[in-house]
Amino acid sequence: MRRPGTPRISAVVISRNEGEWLQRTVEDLSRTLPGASEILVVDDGSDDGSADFPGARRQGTRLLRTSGQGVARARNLGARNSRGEVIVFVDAHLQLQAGWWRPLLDVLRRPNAGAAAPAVADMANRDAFGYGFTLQSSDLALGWLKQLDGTPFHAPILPGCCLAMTREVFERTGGFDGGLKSRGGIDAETGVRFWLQGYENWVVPESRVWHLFRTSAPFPVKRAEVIHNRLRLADLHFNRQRVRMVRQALAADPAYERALRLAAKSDSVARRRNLMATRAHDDSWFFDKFGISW
Amino acid sequence: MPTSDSDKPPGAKPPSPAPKKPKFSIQELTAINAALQANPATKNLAERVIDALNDPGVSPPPAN
Repeated sequence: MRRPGTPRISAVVISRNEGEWLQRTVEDLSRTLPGASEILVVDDGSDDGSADFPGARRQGTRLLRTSGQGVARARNLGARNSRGEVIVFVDAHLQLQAGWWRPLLDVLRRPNAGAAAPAVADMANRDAFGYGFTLQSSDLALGWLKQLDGTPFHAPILPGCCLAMTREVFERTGGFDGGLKSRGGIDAETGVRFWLQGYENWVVPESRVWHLFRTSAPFPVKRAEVIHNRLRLADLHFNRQRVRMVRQALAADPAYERALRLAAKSDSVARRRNLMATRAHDDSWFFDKFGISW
Repeated sequence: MPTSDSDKPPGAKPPSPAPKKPKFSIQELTAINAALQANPATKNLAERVIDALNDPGVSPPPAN
């Protein structure tokens, strides 16, 4: 049953070769979400049969199949096929506790709220939580933040493994950047863009989830695409000096030249122009707000 | 300390075995890549060497 005033939640689960973890995550969502919620699994090109379990098509759960579009596009596709007033993007290797979603929804009611995310711990180290990310160096590597206190707080970047936003914000922002390839760098681009467009990213310590951290992806990932995504974040949002710093930091990577060629063929120039025309803050405001000083 | 029933993985099946760690570091693969790039006969193999690193994404939060 849905309590009066509780918006309907759509959980969008992106999966590719997740093995048994997909079914476990869907079962956890079914067990913990309010009754009127829906679960939408986007199986983005698995070849391990992981999306074939019967629960993937039970009432309240739907399955879409795509062919390796990458995380950003698959999330957007799932969101556009969902119906809830609140969309939660969930990795297909997550453990959730009862009521995890409620504090996230409370924060999404705040003025200017863009997205909200829980504290995240590794399943293998269950008491070590991270509270959102910062851009820790000019190669755009992410560093986990520590908890300030028990109340929700602003973070530069939120973990996409469990990320909630209203449908209204999803539609206004366009969700995830479809120019990002495969995986890697998607959380960072989304976080920076939301802030620059005037939306706030909130970490909600009261909500906690446990995530499976792997030492390699369960599907092929081209390193050039990972580096491309970092270049794209800088190309879309940063001033010339910071773009130069990012390129210098990434130039030593063996996939850098290939990443540059991907960027040259992309829509980044037109996309940057559109974002600049609508943004509420510039990148220096973002760096100052969060004390990022590289 | 978390005390909810989500402390246990959902479902009765045992967890999948942990994935194997990459056999080479990025530094080692970079060196192999450079060597392959330098030889016209092996140049087209260089990209595959780097892609074999298979970026794992974000690291877990550090212990407090």
